[in-house]
Amino acid sequence: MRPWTRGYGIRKMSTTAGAEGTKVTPRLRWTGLPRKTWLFFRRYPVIPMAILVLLLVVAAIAPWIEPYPPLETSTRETLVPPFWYAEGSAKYLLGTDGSGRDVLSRIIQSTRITVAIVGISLGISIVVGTTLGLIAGYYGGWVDEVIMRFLDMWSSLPVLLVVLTIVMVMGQGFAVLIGSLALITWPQPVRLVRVEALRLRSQDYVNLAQVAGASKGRILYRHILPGVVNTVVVVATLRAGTLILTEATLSFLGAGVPPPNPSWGAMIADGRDYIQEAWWITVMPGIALLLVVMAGNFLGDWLRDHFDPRLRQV
Amino acid sequence: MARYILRRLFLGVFAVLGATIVVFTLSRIGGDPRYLYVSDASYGVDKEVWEAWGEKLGLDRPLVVQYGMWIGRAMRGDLGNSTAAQRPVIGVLKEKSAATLQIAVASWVLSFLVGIPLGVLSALTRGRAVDYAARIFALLGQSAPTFWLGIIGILIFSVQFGWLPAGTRGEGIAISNMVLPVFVLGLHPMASYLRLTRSSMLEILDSEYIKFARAKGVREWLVIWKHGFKNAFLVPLTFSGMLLVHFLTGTVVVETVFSWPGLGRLAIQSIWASDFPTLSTLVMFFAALYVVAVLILDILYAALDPRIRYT
Repeated sequence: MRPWTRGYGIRKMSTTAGAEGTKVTPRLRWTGLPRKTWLFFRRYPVIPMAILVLLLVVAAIAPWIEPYPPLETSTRETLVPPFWYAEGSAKYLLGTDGSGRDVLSRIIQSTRITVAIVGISLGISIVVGTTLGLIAGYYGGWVDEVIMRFLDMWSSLPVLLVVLTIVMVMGQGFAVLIGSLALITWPQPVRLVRVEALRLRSQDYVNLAQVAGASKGRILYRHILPGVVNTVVVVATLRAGTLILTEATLSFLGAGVPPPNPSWGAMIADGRDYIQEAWWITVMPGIALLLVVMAGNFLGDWLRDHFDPRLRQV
Repeated sequence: MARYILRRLFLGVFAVLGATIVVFTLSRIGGDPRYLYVSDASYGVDKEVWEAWGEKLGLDRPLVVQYGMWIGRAMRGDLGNSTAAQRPVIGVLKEKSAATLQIAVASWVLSFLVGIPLGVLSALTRGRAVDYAARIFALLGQSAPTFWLGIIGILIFSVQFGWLPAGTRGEGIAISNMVLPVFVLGLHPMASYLRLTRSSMLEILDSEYIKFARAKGVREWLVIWKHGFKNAFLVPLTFSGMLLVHFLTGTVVVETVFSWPGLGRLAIQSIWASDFPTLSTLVMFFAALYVVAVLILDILYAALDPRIRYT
């Protein structure tokens, strides 16, 4: 059933010599290095990891690798196509937008902004979510009931609309954006961590710690928390992709990263006006977005399958 | 069963109440609601008029009383006037909801009818080319940004080939206008249904009673659909509530991209017009819709799966 043993391709031919005149059936199969490479790529998420590492590196060194200042406009060189077009030039590898800004530089700069925003909001929501989940799962009773009912209520809200309302009321800004994204993300870790904490609570080693006189805080921190780390890492990775998408959606709708800062979502929104004559303004940031979100989701799936298979696929 | 339904109903009412509290809090964080009626560029208003407004709107009372008054009016169907359209919000909402319903229902049916069979197929061909293709499709569907996909769709099918209109609802139920929005809106849920069906189907097909059914010689077709799928189907069904959230957020984006005159676009327009009454009504409406849908699904689930204990 494994695709590679059925042998596509042109590796060693182990010819089973038949009688003279009979047709020899060549058996083709991967061997040696190509097969090892294939197995390695199949076993580990190499490409997604490479994309995510590239994302972080680009985010870290963005100001030094941008060919042009991302906000610098030009009145003459507007809507220059990418370099492979006859009218394009090597000056602007991915072309320029309607205000003559270099698309590549803007993509690089938005990488930095997105990573910072998503990183901070993910951090906040994971810390808050894990803490609440641990408390709900470990203490149980009315504490659990209160947290979970609040969570149910929160999950029934149309979060995107609530966030848009928040932005309308409080104005656009980085702090509002980070807060809103954290508000969207915190419920999921609570549910999953709570289930894990519930399971760990009745384990023998936890009971023994209690017998030995450990305080509740100490049991939570030293004995239960390490047990939920796997779940937390998996959830965080899976949520990272969704968060990047949400940030881009908000920016697309004009309620995300405050202008004139570039952001993938806002760039796509800008490009809509030029869709007939300059597709690259829209398509390029979208490809960056798609690759990053796919890499995040793929890695998240992989981590879940390997470290926390109990979690259900959604 | 009756007790179970009653408890779920109670929790649902509680959730909607919570949503109203969130909306009310937001309305007060935004500052004095009277500013909604005074534009920055105008000359402002007299102190007397200002006070009269305050009295009329009940702003001199404590916050709890104000909240109570607001809820009381909302229960009677009076959700205030849209500041942009200058008429009752309820009327605007009624007018726009048909358009949203049209694409939401169509894309839900599409995602259900495509996603679930593909999920079963993917589970049955596990590890083979078909399975890989289905999984790549699912990954793409879950990762592709809806708004970008919509624009790419317009770029290819409207700008390049000119096969489909680039937006608007068209006259009556115009199928060609619906194709792009419905597909773009349905892709994410389709991918989710595929993955859920696949994983649940794999789990079921691995179980003892399936092996037993095969051993006793039940036809493969019956094993898959009657013994396997009937049980595996419960998982995608219960997650339908969560997928509904994607639809609600999705409509906001898709309707914006395709200039579809529905509730999602209304929400975006009311944000730019600072139309708080309309926006808050939409938030509560979507919350109520979600609660009702989840309630129905929970009851359906309990009715379909006799193993569920009604707690």
